[in-house]
Amino acid sequence: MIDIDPFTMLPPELATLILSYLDHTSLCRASAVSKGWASLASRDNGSLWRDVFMNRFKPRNIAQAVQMGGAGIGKLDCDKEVWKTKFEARQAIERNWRTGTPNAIYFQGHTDSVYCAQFDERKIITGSRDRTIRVWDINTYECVKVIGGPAAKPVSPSVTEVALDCHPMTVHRGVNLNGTPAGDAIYHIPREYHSASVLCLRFDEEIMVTGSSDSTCIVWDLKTWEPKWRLEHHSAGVLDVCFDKRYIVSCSKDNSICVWDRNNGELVKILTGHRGPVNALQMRGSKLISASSDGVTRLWCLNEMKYIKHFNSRDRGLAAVEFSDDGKHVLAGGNDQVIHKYDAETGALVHTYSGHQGLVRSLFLDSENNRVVSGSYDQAVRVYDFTTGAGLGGAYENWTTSWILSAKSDYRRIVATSQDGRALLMDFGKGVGPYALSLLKGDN
Amino acid sequence: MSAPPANITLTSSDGVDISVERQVAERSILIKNLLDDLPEEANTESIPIPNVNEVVLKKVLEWCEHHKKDPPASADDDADSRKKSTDIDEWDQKFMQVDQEMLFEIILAANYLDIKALLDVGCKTVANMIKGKTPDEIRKTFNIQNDFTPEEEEQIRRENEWAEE
Repeated sequence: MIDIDPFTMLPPELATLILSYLDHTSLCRASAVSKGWASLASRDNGSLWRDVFMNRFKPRNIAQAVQMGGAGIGKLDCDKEVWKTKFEARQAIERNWRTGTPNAIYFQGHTDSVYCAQFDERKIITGSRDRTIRVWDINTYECVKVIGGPAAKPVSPSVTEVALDCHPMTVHRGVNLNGTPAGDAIYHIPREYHSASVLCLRFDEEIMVTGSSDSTCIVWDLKTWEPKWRLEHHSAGVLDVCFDKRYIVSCSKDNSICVWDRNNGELVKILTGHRGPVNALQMRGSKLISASSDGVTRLWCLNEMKYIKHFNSRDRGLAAVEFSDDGKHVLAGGNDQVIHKYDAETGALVHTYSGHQGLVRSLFLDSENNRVVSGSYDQAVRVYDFTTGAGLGGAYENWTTSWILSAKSDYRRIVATSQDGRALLMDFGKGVGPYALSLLKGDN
Repeated sequence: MSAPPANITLTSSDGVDISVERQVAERSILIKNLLDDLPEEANTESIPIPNVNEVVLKKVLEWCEHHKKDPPASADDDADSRKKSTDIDEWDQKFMQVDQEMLFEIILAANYLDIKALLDVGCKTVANMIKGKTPDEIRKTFNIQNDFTPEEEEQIRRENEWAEE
């Protein structure tokens, strides 16, 4: 019995097929075997690296509850030589998540607490207690639009104002344009606007929905930044909104949940049952989940517009809730400083994610990357492995100078907002070249 | 019209006739397409398999016999739609316990005969022989000469540092 180099016996396409079953570590080791193997495993073998990349990072194409950045795989019809570069870039980003070493970028301009944010590959949109909505370019870090009423227009900061502390990993701190000609030029006064704090916002390709302490929601046309409808029914502040192609759902301090028709802004149904303010919402298909200060997470069916079941937290109020993409798990966090993961079917507690030392104000589940990002009044952002509940990369403590009010993530970034009036971008693409990062961007 | 004969004859590259159940032989898409194209009466003729010798062909047909009831592979099996696992079921693992030359011959034959599931099992088997090994262990496994200069080896090591974690 003789041992033979398989790749002298097999044609290159079969050698490639064999190598495509390897993980990248084994593949890189294989490339050090001989010149022949090195050439087979080189970056010129694009179809091989495409397989290795997809095997590791292929998105499951699940409908994310909140549209965020791309899937981190870039264009599928890219040049064949770049697949290895893409792999190396994603690998470096994953490493930065594990070691907890992102770059920090601060966005300044809001003149009061920043309650909410969402982002994609191009922009970050934030809403604030200062009654304005701001749009930031996520790549150049510039503020490109401020939307609010005439009375909310900011003036120049006073010269005695002390600059807020930034984390040592900071690579950029935005310039405050308030009161400057440039700041005035980007200030947009729409037909209608919020007359009180902007507490929540969500957007997709077409619309944005904001909810406010003025008890209303506004549905915005994302192309013009003008309102399509104002949703009026709640009798107290609107604390969270979510929507899909059919419905917009809002929840309020008035203990109720309103379901609106996305296509005409009409009120469809009022869901009642919570005995305290309803702080957070999430939709998944026909299912809606809500978390309240009454300490109960409720599951509703939007087809029948009725209550299905509830999950009790150990004790006090809940501030944040998330629904896994497959609808199998529910995450809830709040006053008891931990995050509970429930089995949505049985209601059983699966995991408790711990670490925070204050109220868990914000939760975000990135199902594609299996990460949960939480923000807390303890001024920390934490990242957990969704499956195991284990902490990932440690805690980001005191990167802001006050409470974290929201935090969301994608394959490469976390955007957190704080009571200190700033939005913070943590970019885990640190150390990866701009060209390699650009290869991971989707079309959006 | 008479029913197609249950058995057909294949002739290996070394001229040996092998009689085999049609359903078994049709695991090979090459043979299946050939039979589909032929008129019924021609099915009594033997089919030459010029690229596969008797020993290998018999081995391949042994696999086909065991897997004759498997659902046919779908033509539009999108490479991106599945995550590649190197798991192999127990029977196939035993089946693949052959010497290296035979293993590579099976892969070549599966490729030629267009038996996708067997080709996958063969490739996975070789991948599993590579997986988790150092370059030196791989060289020993397949009796490969290291033809790098020390400088080239050092350069490759540096280039691949990112992957070792």
